[in-house]
Amino acid sequence: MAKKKKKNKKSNALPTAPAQLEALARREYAAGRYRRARDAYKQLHKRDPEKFLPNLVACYKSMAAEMLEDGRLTDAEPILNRLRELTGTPLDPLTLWQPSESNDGRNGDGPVRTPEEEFRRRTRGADASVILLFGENPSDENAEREPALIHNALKCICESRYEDAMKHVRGISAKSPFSHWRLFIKGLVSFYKGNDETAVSALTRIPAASAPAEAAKPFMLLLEAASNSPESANRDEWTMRHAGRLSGYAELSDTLARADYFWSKGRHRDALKLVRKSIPDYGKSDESITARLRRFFELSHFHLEEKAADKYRDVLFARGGRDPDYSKKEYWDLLRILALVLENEGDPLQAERFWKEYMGSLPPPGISKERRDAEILFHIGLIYAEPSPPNPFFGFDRKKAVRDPEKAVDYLKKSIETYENNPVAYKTLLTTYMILRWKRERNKLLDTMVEKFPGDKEVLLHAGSACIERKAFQKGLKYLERAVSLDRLDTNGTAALISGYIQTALADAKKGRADRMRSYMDKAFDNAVEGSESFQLNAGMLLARRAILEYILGNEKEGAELESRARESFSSQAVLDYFMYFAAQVYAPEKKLTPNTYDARAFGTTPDMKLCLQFLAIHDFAKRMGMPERKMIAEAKRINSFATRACKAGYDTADALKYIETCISGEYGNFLESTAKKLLSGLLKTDPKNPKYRLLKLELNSFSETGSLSKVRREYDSILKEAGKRNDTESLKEAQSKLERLRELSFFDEFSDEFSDEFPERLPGGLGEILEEIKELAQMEDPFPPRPRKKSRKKSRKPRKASSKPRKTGEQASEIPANNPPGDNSTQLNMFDSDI
Amino acid sequence: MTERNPFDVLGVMPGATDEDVRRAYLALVRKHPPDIAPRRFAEINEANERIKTEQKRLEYELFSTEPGIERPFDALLEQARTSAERTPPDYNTMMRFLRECMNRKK
Repeated sequence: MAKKKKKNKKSNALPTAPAQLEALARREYAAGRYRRARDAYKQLHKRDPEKFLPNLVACYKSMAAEMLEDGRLTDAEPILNRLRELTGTPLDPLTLWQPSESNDGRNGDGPVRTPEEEFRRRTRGADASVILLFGENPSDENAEREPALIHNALKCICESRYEDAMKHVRGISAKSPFSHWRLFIKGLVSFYKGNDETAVSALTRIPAASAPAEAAKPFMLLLEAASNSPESANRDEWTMRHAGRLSGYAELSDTLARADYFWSKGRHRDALKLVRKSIPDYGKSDESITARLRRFFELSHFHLEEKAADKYRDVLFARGGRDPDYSKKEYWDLLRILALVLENEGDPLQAERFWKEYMGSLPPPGISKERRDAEILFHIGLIYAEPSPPNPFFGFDRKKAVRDPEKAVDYLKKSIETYENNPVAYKTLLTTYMILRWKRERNKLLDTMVEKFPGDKEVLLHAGSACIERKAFQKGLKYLERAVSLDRLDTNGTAALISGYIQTALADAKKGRADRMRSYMDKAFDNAVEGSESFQLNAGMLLARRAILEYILGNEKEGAELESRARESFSSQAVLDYFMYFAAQVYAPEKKLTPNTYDARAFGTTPDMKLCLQFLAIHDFAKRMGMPERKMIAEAKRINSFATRACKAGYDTADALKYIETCISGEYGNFLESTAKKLLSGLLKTDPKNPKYRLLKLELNSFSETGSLSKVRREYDSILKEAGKRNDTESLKEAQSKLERLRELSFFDEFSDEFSDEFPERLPGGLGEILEEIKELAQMEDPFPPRPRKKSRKKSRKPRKASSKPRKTGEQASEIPANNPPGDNSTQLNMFDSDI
Repeated sequence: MTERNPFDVLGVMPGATDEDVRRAYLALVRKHPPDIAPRRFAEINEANERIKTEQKRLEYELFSTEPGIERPFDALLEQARTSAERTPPDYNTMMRFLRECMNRKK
């Protein structure tokens, strides 16, 4: 080993003969090995300082240039100091890259470079000139030099004197090697002044190989965040750290950059631990940045994969109650999050307990406690007012329209009592009453609501329709007219008003009051819309209805005249015939106003798929008019057989798809199925791999055939691939959601096998311990009722859906006026549209 | 991608009133009209819809599970974006930063 070392040493040793030494020095320099050349020239310089000084200086310059090019500023500094000693004057780094004019073995003997390399070297030289000037006070003699100007401009920026900064660099020309520094200064000035567009434009023009280009990165991150596209900005740890420092958040930048790194690597718990440990205000302050961070760390687990979320929650909730420094603010926040987690886990009973507990906290800024509490009570009410989830043990579709009617009503009422000016709570209670068909309570509530919110269109519409329903026509019309006057563009309101007029006119017609009937029908007509697709608003349909009312009164002539006027506005008489067929039966079932003539005419026309679809729409409307179900089934069968004939005559793909989709919707049971299958098989012949058609086929088959689950899953997988190939996003999404549903089915299969009556040992996500802690803290009694073990569930549960399924807001909930009884899973009816 | 906190999008504080939200919304819509910045406009509209009433603001603060930002560092970026004034660092910090940039450039 020692021998080897000696040999190496010998080979690195410089020759002693001056001629040999000089030859070696020239050779090494030309080859770009400046350190070896410097060593040789050093020896020669000792012997003849005058002759070899330029060579030695050239070597040092080349070394310094190389180091600066490599970004080794610290290494370059002693070299530059040595150069200063040798030459007796400070060296401008820019001169390091000036091409040598001589060809005597100095700079000119160095390696040959391309123009791009020369530009890069020159830029680096300019950068070194500017940066090395820091730490030195520019003397008067070089105050006008460009590095000094840049240096002074940067000083001005740091002192927020932006105009002065720009004045300093104004003199730097575009051809100067320092021009990129002018861009940098301009970018910085614009950034700190808030002119983001100018800042971006200046900073992006800086040449990539320069130090300012590197320095621009943190600013670009901040600027791109401002332009809402942070995903495209450079987000390495260094850039983030400096972005924080340069924007005035030096104390947070390192921690957050590190936490961000942890988070990006899936080390969520480490990120949270770091933030909790390093930011003392994290759990205590409501400062925007800490509040923002707290919200992130408290809620992001809802968007993580199940397993990661469970692990993360162990840390998130771990400190509850035990740590004396545990912040009260964070404690309350976590109580709320816990309630949300339990809600999400489908445990409203426990969520309710934690919400109630949370009501002991302070309300958010600017909100009164009553208002906040009312909102929480409303939220609990809403949970109980939602339909109950399907019970896996009793079939998938058997669910209740309201999860817990008594609790829902109780909480919604409490919310109203706590804060009585929230119209959404009233509307949700109203909706609940309507779903439950508690008509007396509904009417009572509507009376209160009309008094409380006389200018609320929706309330007036509800109240008006309810009055009409209970035959308080004048009062109902008054409310409806007021509602329409508040928003004339709302067609739902107009439709409700027209419906009110028609029902009032019908009542008058039945009492033989022709004038009053006509007057109401005239008012209805004033609100009608020519050619509207809505059966309520269509002027022709209104004429037809009025004709029927005249027939009821025995005025055959007037009725016939109105009917013929109505026919003028329809291109297809069959549509009007079919409509009148139903209208006659609904208005005066006892009078038998030749309905058979109407329907015979309707179905006597040439079969056509478009007409079938129109018939289906009328059928749907007639169902809502209150036609008997048995009758409607018979009508569905008639339409189906009409469609079968239409099928032979040819059809549009769009019409066929609509027919198939209507069949799948289940509104008509399976009475449309035979034709739908024929249509679909026709479509599949034209394009057998079409993902949409194949999805429809699977849906259609589910009515009558039960294939094996794995076969169905394979087919969905294949559809998914085909949809991807064809870029058919709609089918892609649908296939994905169906597959997810299938996974749920397989989960319930496993679940039912392992179901036992044992109590849970542990709630998911470490919640068991947390609940214990919080229970201790709040000195609560045992809040947990027995729950089935969820062993198998943990294995096969799909990722949490909290992110994709936002909470149903009060307003959304109040938008579901329905007349279905609890447990009825059929389409919910809009009460404004429930009459003719 | 996570939806941004609507308060941050509109640049209003959590205790803002309906009027504050409306004013901020109108100012932003004027600044980012749909024909020039359609994405931004849509985001502003969406944010306004989410917090324009006291009811909606409460719903967001109490029941929303949206974290508002995607990653921890976004908290700082949002802060820098929404703060009225940007503060430059002191001279020494700037100097150290530029030296690092020079050293970093390979």
